[in-house]
Amino acid sequence: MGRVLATGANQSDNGDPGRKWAVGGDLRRWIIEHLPSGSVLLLGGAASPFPLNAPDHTVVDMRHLASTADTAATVDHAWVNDALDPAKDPATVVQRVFQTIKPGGTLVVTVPFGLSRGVSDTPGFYLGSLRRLLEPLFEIAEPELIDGQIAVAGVRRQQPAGVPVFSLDPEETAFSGLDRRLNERLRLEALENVHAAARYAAAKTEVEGLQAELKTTKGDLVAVRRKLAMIRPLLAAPLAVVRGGRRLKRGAARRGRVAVTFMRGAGAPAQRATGQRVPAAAGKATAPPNWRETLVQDFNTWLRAARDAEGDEIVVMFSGTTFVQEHRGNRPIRLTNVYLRRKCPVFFNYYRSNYKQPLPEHPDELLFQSPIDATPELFDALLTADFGDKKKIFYASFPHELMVRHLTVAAMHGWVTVYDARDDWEEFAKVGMAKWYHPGYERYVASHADIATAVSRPLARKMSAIADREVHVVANALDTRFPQASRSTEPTWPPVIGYFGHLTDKWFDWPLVIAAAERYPGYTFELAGHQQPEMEYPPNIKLLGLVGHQDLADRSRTWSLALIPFKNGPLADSVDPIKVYEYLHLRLPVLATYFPQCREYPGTTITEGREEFLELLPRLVGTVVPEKETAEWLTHNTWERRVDRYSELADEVRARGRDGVMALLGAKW
Amino acid sequence: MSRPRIVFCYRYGLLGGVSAQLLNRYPYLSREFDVRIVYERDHGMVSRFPAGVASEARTPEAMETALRDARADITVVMDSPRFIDAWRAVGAPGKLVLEVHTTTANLVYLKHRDQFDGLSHIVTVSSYMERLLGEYGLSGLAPITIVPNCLDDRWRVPSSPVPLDGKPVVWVGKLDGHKRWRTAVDLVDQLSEAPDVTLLPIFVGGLTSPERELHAITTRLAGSKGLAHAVWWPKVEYDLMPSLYTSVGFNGGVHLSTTVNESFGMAVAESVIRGCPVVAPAVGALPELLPEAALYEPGDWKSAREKAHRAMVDPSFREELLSSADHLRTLTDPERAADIYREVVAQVLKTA
Repeated sequence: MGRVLATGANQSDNGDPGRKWAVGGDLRRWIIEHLPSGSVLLLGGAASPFPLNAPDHTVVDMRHLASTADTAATVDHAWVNDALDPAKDPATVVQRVFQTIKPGGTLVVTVPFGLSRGVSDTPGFYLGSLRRLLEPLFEIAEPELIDGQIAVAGVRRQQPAGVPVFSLDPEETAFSGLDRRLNERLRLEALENVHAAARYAAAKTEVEGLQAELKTTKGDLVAVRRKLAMIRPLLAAPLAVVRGGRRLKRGAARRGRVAVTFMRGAGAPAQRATGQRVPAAAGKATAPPNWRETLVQDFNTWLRAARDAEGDEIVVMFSGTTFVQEHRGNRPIRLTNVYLRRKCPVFFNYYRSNYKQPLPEHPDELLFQSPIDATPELFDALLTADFGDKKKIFYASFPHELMVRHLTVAAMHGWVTVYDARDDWEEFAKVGMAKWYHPGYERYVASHADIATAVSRPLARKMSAIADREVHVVANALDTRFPQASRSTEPTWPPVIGYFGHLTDKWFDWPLVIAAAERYPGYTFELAGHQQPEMEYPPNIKLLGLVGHQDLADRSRTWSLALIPFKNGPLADSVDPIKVYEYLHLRLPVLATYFPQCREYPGTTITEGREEFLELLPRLVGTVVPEKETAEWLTHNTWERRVDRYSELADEVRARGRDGVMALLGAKW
Repeated sequence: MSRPRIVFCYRYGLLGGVSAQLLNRYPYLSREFDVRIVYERDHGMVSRFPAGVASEARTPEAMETALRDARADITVVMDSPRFIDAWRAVGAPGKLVLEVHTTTANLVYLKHRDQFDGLSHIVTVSSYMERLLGEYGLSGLAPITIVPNCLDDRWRVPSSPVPLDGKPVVWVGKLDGHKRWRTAVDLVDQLSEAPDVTLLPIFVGGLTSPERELHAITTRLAGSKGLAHAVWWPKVEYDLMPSLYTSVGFNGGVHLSTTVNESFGMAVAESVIRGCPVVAPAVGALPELLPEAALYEPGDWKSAREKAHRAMVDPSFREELLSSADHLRTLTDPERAADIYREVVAQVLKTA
């Protein structure tokens, strides 16, 4: 019975076989065919090619191999598998194998062709070099290439015919260089593949994260829809709304898109105004497929209208809330309305949560409204457009990323830039709103704008500290078109206490209002607004839902006192509630929690603690606001005056030039 | 005989960089050649050329159509291998010239030399790049000619500087690791501690940077007293750059570069030509543009800081830093660049 003597380059000192790898397929068959039966020396890191328990072959421990004379010429045949290393004296290995095999025995050698195992500093074997190494000691047949290996079989000579030497001839040397370069390229490709796989894995993780976020957002959306369904029955559209809606519906239908709403705060305003049904899945409302083209066409039309407009200023209003609607009362919209009345064109950026929301329409051709997802594409053309000798003013109404990117670009093209801090966004972010907020952005915009303003003194002080610059207080104001009550005021008894605005518990102080209702059960508290929390209210709290301005004005004639009951804290510290101007316009005495900006407003009482608020409430019921002082104060606090103030500030910048290194941006006023 | 037609193909039609080179060369090359330009993506460059000269081809099919219709005698592909594929796909018309400007990872395409079959000539912008191309094994493929980047006339027209109450230190680049903006901000922050200089830091570039970089830079600027009055301008119009450098130089300021590598170093050359001294790392082609005194060893930030500070307080050192200005004016003369290009064209057209 023959023997297989197992050894290998990986064999450890204690004789364990070490790692072995199987030779498969064609090469294995070739080896079996070329190794006659008998004892076979297996040299190199591979498993036996023969089936287990093969009758002609046996695996034998290799510790006795060949290094000494007593083991010489004791083996019938040998298979040397990948054990010849050009860098480790392969000639000696061949000589040892020659000594170990009996004369006439068979040698099978398998080595990787060239550098096919990878790049190394030493050359690999090619057909010629292997032949030159073996032929002095073995009579060899023609080498074959199988599975990337050179396979050669030879018969041991009786006597050596020369000395084995490893060498490459010039042709092989040249080929080895090419081989190395090809291998290096393969290695780099493989490396690139690894990097690509890593990028793919990272992108996949990101996609999974986004999918999870989308799932959460969908959950939130379902919750919002449920709330919307609850408040919808409370919405009674006033006649004016329906009339306005009909008028705009015609325009919208003509242009294939949806007109603006006249309803304050309605959940799906556009559809309501046009009389369209709000689909059950409101979020599935879709904009026309070509909305982007429509937008660009409208923008170009607006550019032409803007150049020809009568007004001497042109305005970019980068707002972070809804599009311009008649009865939405936020600051950017109020300022915009004044500019439009002055025939000054306005580019109004508004926020929409996704591109499927229809584009709004507005009857004034000097107003162009751009959703925030489309604005970046229009900025270049907008900021560089020629508006003749119009004075250009650029409002950053919230410190969004786009303002960071484009504020100084606008400045470079002759726009006087304004950061108008209309709220303490940092505090809003802390209560889960203003998710876009980043403190670095706000500091950047506040410090890089030509003019910085804030709606209240506390907020101006904060911005001044953050940006280390002068920040002007430009408070909120009265919209002079806010309606008066259609009849004279007739406070009733028992008293009715009123409020209109947001009812969210993020800042509306519900515990305080409920405490007031419980302490004064004879009083009625009428609260107009939305987003109130779901809970049981005392019976003397009446939730009116969303109410139009004229209805509010009419209803307020029975009120004895108006409230602004917000939670005390840094968020409220910076607020200048627009409703205080509207209350005073309706000549309602005002009781408020802590709003330091309003401390010196006429007819307005600021309180700092719960007990103070509750004790003052009955004492203020039925008081009369000082007419002359209030009327005069309101005259000085209109949105028209605010726009005048901004024009003055901008003119000052144009007159004196920019400060410090900002002057290097040039001044093409 | 009609004028030879040359079609230049490049990825981005964005003012600055390679596109600015095309714009600068055009008036000179178009005197003798019928010059056409094809961008893969145009960002406002097409309209800067006379009507019909430049166009956009966004897809491989559009590129093929553009090259087929052009029937060019020479197609010059500038760092945009997709155009090579298109050129081959339409039957390899005329001669192919490769123009290499980039030093970044985009150079990887040069490893695939199979695509350069039939290449007639290679053009690059500096001796450094010529050596680099040699290391990529391209020197054996076709002759290499250096055509330095050039600057148009606006860089040679004087402008009135704006006086400032301090010494500006300006850094220009994208907000990425290649330009090392973080290192630049840190160095400037450290420079602001010098008691003898009122520093006015100016960072330029980064309009299209990812939002994470915007977060990072605005946070960094907000977080250090030394950077309290730093300005970051994500974009400065190219037309404004000459006067910006002039003002920085006039006010005793310095241009600090922290780049990893430069194939030419356009911003550096522009700055010096406008009288604004530069302190930069000795990388890429920058040693070909700047005197040794202006260079620091890459990674030797202490040296960078010291040289930048000295540039602001030592008039003789400033003079030394600006000593290469005349050389740079000559080097970047567009007429000269056009002359060299004409020779390349003649040589290419002569080959069989």
